[in-house]
Amino acid sequence: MNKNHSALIVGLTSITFFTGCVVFTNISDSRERSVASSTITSEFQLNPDLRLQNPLGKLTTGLALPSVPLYTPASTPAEKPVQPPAPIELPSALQQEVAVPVNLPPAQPLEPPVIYRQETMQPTTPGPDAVPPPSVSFVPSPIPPSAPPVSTPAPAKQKTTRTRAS
Amino acid sequence: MPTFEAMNTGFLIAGLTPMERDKVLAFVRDAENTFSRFSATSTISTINNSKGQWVEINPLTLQLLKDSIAAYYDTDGLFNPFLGEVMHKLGYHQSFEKLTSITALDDQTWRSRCNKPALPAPTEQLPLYLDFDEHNHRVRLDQAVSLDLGGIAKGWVAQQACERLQLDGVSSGLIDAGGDIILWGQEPRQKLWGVGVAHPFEKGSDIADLWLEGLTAIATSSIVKRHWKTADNYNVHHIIDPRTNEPSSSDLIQVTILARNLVVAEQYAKCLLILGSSVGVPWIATKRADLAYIAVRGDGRIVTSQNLPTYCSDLEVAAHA
Repeated sequence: MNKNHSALIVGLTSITFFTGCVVFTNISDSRERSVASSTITSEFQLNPDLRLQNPLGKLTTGLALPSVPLYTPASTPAEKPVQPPAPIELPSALQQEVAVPVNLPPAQPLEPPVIYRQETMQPTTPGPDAVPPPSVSFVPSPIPPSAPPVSTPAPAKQKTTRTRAS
Repeated sequence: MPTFEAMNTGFLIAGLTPMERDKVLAFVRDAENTFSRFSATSTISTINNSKGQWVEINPLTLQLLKDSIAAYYDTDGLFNPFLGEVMHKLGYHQSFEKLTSITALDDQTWRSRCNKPALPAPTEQLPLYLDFDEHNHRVRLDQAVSLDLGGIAKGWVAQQACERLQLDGVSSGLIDAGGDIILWGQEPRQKLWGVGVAHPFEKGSDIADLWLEGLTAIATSSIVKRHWKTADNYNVHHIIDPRTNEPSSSDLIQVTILARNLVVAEQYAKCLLILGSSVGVPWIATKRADLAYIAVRGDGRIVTSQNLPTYCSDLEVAAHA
């Protein structure tokens, strides 16, 4: 293979790749972009000599290529591993545990809620003609001791018949 | 619920479609015309009128007679299908509704009659008064006796009707043949069939409420229901004690048996009634411990077996009647 042949091969390869990249730059849809990438990959597979080369490196010298990477591997060794956040050091005052008070008074049982009922009060000193307005006061009503929940009684079963001597 | 009169009693059918009810009705009508002792043209009357001779019978009658003989031996003869002559001599020679000597006895009279000493259970060899020629579908009755299938026919017919419906795929229903009841499956609305046990004296009252599902047979026998006066002015009833050939006089007034077969329930209700509580309770425990019972003594006390819950999903039984 002489120099002319080598130049011709490199030239054809560049044109082929350039054509693929032009197609790629006119495609915005991701699906079509994938097709374009596939085309480029096929071209590389056809020319095993180019597998060893970085095509982007060759073309960056005179062509403006998109900055979108064509392929992103699942794991990039160059990526910096994510480090867990460093523990935040609190001021010493905040790091103190909350002390449980020891001398709390014993828990008191909750008093039952008070229900008020209305009651009409009679005037203590009624005048001869005065009609006292009914005054309203509220007195606590006793709470019934935990009444069982009201349940709907099941319908009574019906007897079908009766056994008897005949 | 649909009811009809047949075999001198009232039938009630529940939980069945009209077509299934019609099947039961047709079967009961056919049996009525075949088995009645009081119909001159029935097969049973023909056999009774042809003693000592072979009489051709249809397969239905042959099956009933075979089951009757089986019950006769199973119960040591306490159920006895050969008492037609005895019943006739006591005055029960026509349909009960046509008897002119029906008496009305008060409950104190019945209670006072339940005080005779109990007789021991029968142990002797039982004679067979009926010859079978199954190949030619015929039977021959001994000259000394007459057939009376009144104590088995109703329950047997209801049991047969139930079995036929079950073979047809009918999954639930109830047939009440004058108080002898066979039920199976679940009640359509409330799942449990409710069956009251009638008070022996108070019409419309029950001494027990039984709630059931699945195949269950309930039969009640009582000395109070069918009674009449003999020519010598003696009050008798239709439960005959084959040991004496007289109306039974044990301490029991009424017995209800729960079983899985109505023929069995009907037979053992009579047996316990005849034997009385002191002899009958141990006898039935030996013979058929699977049966449950509710029995009313003459003094009003109600005696029950402990296995009633085996048959009942729920039950309530009074202590006294």
